Amino acid sequence: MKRYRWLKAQWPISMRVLAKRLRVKAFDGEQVEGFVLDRVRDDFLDARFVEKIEYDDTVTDPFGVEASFHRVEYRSCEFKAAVAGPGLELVDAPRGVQTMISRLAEATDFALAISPLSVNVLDWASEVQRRLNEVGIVDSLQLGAMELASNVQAKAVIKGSVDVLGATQALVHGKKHVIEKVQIRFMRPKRMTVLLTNNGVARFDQEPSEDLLSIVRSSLPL
Amino acid sequence: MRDPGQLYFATNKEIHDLLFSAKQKVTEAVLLELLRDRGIFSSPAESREALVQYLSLLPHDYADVCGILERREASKRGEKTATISLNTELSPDELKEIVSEYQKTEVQEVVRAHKKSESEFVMHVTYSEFDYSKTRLLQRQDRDAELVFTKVGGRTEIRIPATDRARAMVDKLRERIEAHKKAVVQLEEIELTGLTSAEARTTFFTRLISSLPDFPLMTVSRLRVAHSTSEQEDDDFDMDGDDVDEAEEKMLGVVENVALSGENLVASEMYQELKDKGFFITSITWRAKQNVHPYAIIECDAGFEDRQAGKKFRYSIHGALKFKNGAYTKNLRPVSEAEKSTLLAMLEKTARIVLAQLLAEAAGAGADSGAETAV
Repeated sequence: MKRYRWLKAQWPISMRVLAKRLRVKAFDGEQVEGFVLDRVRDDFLDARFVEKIEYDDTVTDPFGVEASFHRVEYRSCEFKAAVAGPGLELVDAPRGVQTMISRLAEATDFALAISPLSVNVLDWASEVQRRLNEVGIVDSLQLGAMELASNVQAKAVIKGSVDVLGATQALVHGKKHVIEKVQIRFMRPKRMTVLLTNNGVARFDQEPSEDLLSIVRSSLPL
Repeated sequence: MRDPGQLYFATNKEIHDLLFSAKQKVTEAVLLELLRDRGIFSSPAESREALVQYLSLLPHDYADVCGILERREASKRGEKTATISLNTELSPDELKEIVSEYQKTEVQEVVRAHKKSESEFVMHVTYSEFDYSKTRLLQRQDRDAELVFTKVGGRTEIRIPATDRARAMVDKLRERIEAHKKAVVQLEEIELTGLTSAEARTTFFTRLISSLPDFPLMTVSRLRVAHSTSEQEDDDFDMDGDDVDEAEEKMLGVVENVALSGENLVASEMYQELKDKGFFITSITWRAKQNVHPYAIIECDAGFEDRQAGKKFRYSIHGALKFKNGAYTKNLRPVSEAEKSTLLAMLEKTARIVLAQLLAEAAGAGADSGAETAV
């Protein structure tokens, strides 16, 4: 499973300059945190933000004897900064990316603006299918804030082995609603599912090919 | 002679007001507890008003009234700190003399002072504050202020609570120091009066939060920005037709300052837009993660009391998240006094360095542009 999250980022500096500034904060195993640059081009850069966490884990055995182990953990977040498109792509992002975003803001002299995306998932899904030239089926869908009556709202997950869009239409029937997530199942070129959410996240059940990823990325309705 | 203390008493109405006015501190549970202390059990379903009414009619002795006042006391946790620097060196012994002179004239205040170390001197002042708009028992509030004098190089730095009263104390002390030293003593606060551009003022904060030694920035959770009105005033000398425009402008919605709260605010689109429109930061709350053992996350704030003028810098440490067994505690815990003073000292030092840097840069830029115009 691979999860990609896109954020709208406006880079005030060129990718080459950004790379130079990130190199100043490079991680070489000694520091607590830093960046590891993987690829730098004129229009994008691939890098990782690595955090090293060291602590002493204390366990008590049944006889009350305490043992302490020194542990070192690494948390890393892979990302792609790009001039075109949404601007920032996070790969399998951990929950807290605040430190990384603060570091990126510092690298750009606090002139970087990052904001979450809000997209229409159905538009996104149909654009992905159009560009892939492949029709998949929407086998599950999550509805949020469907207004049943005044001040009464429902959240629903609709699942099926066939396309659920028709059934969803019948359920919604003109009521106010938000489609939060859509999962598309493709049979060709190979069996796979892609989950798209309205905050700009795409989750693949298997490692996506570079082509597929770039299609999903460029189909994002910005 | 009779004890003058017996001349003063609290009526049931005053006790009623005292109990009733602090809804946050004297809750129903507290009232029930006060009654229970007297061996009276009251229904938990009873309204607050009824409980207060009943309790206020019971006899209260001096200790009882003090007990209620103590419960109402405001906590000092949210208190902000400020720093003032004096351009003279003062040894703890000299300070001791000055402080005892100060005590002689300021009879309303109770001053205790002690030498903390060779370079540090602590002065503790207890004073009363009057607020006649409050109920009688609360008109006089006892406050205390702690002034910490630190000798740094040829200067003396004083850490004070960010109140007008503490600033006045420092002013009075200065007069005595001047008399003692027989020289003019300058008070220096951290002020952005030398930096007029919105950009430079914002840079002061962004550099401050990103250059604390061992405490790199994690997230900015609260931000207050203001628009520089001084720039608008500069435009006054334009053409005649401008008056009309200005009148129209006044009728439009004008945003003077904005408070933002959230996560990673300095990287938010909203803030960047405001910045582009000429807003500058006037106060900031941020979290920083220590990059050496014990890897604590601290939350601090810094800002100017006089926002538009960039005067009266004040700051505080809200608390810390401790790192235990690979995870952080959920809620902020208050930091110990010793930790707090080292953190405050670090904040002060960094703020001074950043300000000096910015002033030097501004002077450098000013000299450059001056040279250009000369050519």
